Amino acid sequence: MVMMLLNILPSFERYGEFVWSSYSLSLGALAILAILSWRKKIVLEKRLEKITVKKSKT
Amino acid sequence: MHKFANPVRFNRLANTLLPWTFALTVTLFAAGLYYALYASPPDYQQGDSVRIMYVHVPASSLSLAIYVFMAAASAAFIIWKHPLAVLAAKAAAPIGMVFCGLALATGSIWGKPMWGTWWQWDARLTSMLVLFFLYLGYLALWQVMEDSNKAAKISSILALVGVVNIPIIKFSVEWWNTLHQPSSLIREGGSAIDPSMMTPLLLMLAAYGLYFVTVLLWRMKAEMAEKRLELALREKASWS
Repeated sequence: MVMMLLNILPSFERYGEFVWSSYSLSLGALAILAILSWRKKIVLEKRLEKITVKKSKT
Repeated sequence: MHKFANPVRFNRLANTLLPWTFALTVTLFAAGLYYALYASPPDYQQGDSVRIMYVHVPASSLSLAIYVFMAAASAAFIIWKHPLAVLAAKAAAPIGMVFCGLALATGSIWGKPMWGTWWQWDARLTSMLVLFFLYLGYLALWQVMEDSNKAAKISSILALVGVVNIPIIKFSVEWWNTLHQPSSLIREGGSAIDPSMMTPLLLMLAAYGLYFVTVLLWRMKAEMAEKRLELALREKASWS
């Protein structure tokens, strides 16, 4: 897997800035959206859990 | 379909599906990127620029499919008043907007070396830009309206009205004389793409599709948690 990735990396130089920028833009945006969505789910679920635990204690 | 409109059942199903969809998304992206950047050949005319197709086509196809999904979910909300249906549409909108933005951006980047211009006001590009604004408008409606019931109704109507744009985008390359090439994946007489390029394209399409399912499930769970949190806080405020 690592060798495969290392083999791919130099080809960015060969493919030029148009291919490079398309891939980095697409993968970057998808990664950011995935992280933000996952984080939102975790934060809200934890906050809800806290409130439900507090409510059940009272 | 109706039995999954139950939030408890949906949560159970999402918890079972999520590890699998996440693992499959990562695997398909790894395989798709390997084929797209390494194993597939350059095009005889476009050279290595053809590799932009493997990120551009999945983004544009999915942005259309997500809008149809949103319209169907909105229709389910209007007809059957399923609260989960409108949550699904709301959760899908940012993903669709990002895909649509990426389709426009990568298309523009691909257009520069191929057509000699970043942008052309032709039917396909313009109708895609309209789709981007429909996504933006849908999300803006949710943001500006304080009453979430009213926001759900009005945004659902917008999603249903906006679906008219989907066949316009799809057939724009056939109805008008456009700079954008006609469809080469789904067309009469079979696909025009060579199998060596079809493999990475299908892998990336599958990766983008599963990415959508994974992120949609995360966002729907977040929306549901937010709703329950709102209710719990309101209940707490009424006690004190």
